[in-house]
Amino acid sequence: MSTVYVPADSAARSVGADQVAAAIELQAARRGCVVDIVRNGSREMTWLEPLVEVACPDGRVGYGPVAPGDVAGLFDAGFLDGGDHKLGHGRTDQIPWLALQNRLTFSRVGIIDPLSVQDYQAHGGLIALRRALAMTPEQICDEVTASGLRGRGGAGFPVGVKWRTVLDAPAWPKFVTCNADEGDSGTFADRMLMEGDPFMLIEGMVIAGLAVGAHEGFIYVRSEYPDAVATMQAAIRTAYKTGWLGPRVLGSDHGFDLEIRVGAGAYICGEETAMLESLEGKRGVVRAKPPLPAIEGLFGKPTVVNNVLSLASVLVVLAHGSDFYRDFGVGSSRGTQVFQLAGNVARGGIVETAFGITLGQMLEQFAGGTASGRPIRAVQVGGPLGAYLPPTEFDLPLDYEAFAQAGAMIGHGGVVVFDDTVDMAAQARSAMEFCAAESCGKCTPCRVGAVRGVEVIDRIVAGQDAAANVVLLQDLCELMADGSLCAMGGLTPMPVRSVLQHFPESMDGSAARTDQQDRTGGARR
Amino acid sequence: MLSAHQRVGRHPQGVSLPNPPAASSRQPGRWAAIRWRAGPRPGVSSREIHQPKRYHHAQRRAARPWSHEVALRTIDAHAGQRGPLLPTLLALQETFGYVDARAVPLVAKALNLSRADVHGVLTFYPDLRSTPPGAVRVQVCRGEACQSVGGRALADHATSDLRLDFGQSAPDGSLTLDEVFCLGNCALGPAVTVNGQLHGRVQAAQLDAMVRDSTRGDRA
Repeated sequence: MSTVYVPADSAARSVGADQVAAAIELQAARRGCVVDIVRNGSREMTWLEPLVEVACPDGRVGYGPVAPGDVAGLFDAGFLDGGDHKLGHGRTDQIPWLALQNRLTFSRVGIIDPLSVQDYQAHGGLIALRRALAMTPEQICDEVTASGLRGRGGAGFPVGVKWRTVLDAPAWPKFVTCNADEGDSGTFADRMLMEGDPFMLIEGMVIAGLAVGAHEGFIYVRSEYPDAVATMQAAIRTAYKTGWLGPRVLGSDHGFDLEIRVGAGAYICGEETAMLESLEGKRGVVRAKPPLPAIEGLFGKPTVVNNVLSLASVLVVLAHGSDFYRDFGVGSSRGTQVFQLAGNVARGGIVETAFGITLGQMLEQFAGGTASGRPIRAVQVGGPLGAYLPPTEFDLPLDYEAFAQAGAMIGHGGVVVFDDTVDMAAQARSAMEFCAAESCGKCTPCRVGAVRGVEVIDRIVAGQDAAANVVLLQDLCELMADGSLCAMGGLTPMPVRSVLQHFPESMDGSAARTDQQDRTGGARR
Repeated sequence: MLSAHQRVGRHPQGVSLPNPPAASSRQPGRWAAIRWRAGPRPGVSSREIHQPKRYHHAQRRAARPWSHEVALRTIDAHAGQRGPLLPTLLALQETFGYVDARAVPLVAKALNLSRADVHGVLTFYPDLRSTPPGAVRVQVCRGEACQSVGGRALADHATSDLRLDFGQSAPDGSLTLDEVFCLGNCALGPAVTVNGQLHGRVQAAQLDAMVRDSTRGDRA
């Protein structure tokens, strides 16, 4: 019997993985082969999806991208024994794109059957939790602090320090919440982890509960990720059955209950205080800080709010020790970051690598240029509120401080590539438009500023007194950045300012002048 | 039998939480009573789950016509949770396809909230609808990653070809067109969903074909 892996990740399914799996089943039945089809997570090389893998004696052999029509040919080529085919890539783990990475948090995703308890344990699952159960809460917090792990949601706050604050807070009960409201365009790592290795997040939540003395957790998943919700729910049910959740976690006296909550399409609920409001069943309106959620969070009680990747990274820290984790990375950015290559890239997907490689290396070694084959004009790092960087900035090393100094941010690790057909003024407008649509409305700089921002950019693009309006736009950006209550209004100026700084030619009204000259038959300058 | 609001009076929203009983004394499987929207059936091994035909991804259920009793039952099922309002409204929407105005006072009474509070939440979240959606729902991603590979042109095509603005439904109720900011398929854009099913690398002609097929299938 042969084992064939066809990803059930929603990205793979979006380009036909279900049809490929059905075609393999059909061909196998016709040819009398016995095939066990495992629906694994994605190997995160989205440009190869659907990637079909076959278990061979010396490792898994990959074929992709496979269309249902290719399946008969694959059987003819003997792919069940790793036979040669034009879609073949040899051993999957030897594909340079994967081999060059430091897979720590994504070590199991795509390798295992996501809901198999046996697979999870066979690939290093529960080691961290068993170790944590033998430690005191203080020891867990210290170990995580020593690793230098910073929150992966975007703000980069040290995880151990946050946990210690919750642990030291006297109120009871305490809560652990996971922010899986991954709304940034260009990011999908949380989704792939939840779909491909759901027990990892559950284990991370239980450990956070141990570290701070909480017995109840919530995972807030956005509604745009229905498959991640379904997978997490199935995994939680299994975890209750196997005793990984419930009143006696792994037979200890620590109890932990975990529940999934689904969002309802509001981007702002990815902001931690808005997420807490939403978990309480209210409008997702941000709260003023202080008090910090670690002191007064969910239902006014001390609450841990961590991103999916932060909780997953904690497992690596505890399983391998803080020294192991800290040895990756540079400066005060320790460990690995999960970058997501997206947009107009030849080879998109997830690149987990130590901090410190430059943006240019990332684009060269992994992205392989644009999908359209045209030159890169801009790269947006850190989601819709991140800066647009031109090729002259590509020697910037990917770490928190270097990016902050350059007026940019790493955020949640999204890297979106644009070719030279991009209209940068339209991208700047898009940032303001997005803020206007998604603002919770609590503070004026964000609610009103974003609408005014769209109007000012429209005037600049139309060539109405462009120079004066650019000054006005700069002023508005300063006001929004300094005066907004949360990062939504505070960071919306970042992409706009980066366009003004790096692509001034797109914001001087010359586009309108050229248009007019074209229409009137005037000579182009 | 107690009505929904009588029974949940014990769990008003927003009150400060009581001090221990220690959490470890809680009943195991506290959430087991929740009806899972999709998931493996009891007694099915995880290997079997991953056979393609029985895969556990999210299922879309047909909406039911409005029923007072069903609404009360749906509200009641979520009433014991912490912060029950949003899950309750989402459950009502899953049952009926939208949150009917008749449900608002029922929810308010059951959760000990004002109707204004319920209305406020109902109108804050883009996913929550106050009117029935079209039979087929199309979402087009407007995120930056999709913009970089032709998402703007695809969005323009969708609105002009279907003669609908984003957020609108066709007058005959056959179709609703929505925009969405990111579907998490950013390396395989432009991304679109048709009735909840995610599609990647969608070209205009393919979108037309998918819409045609699903609206036709829906009428048949």
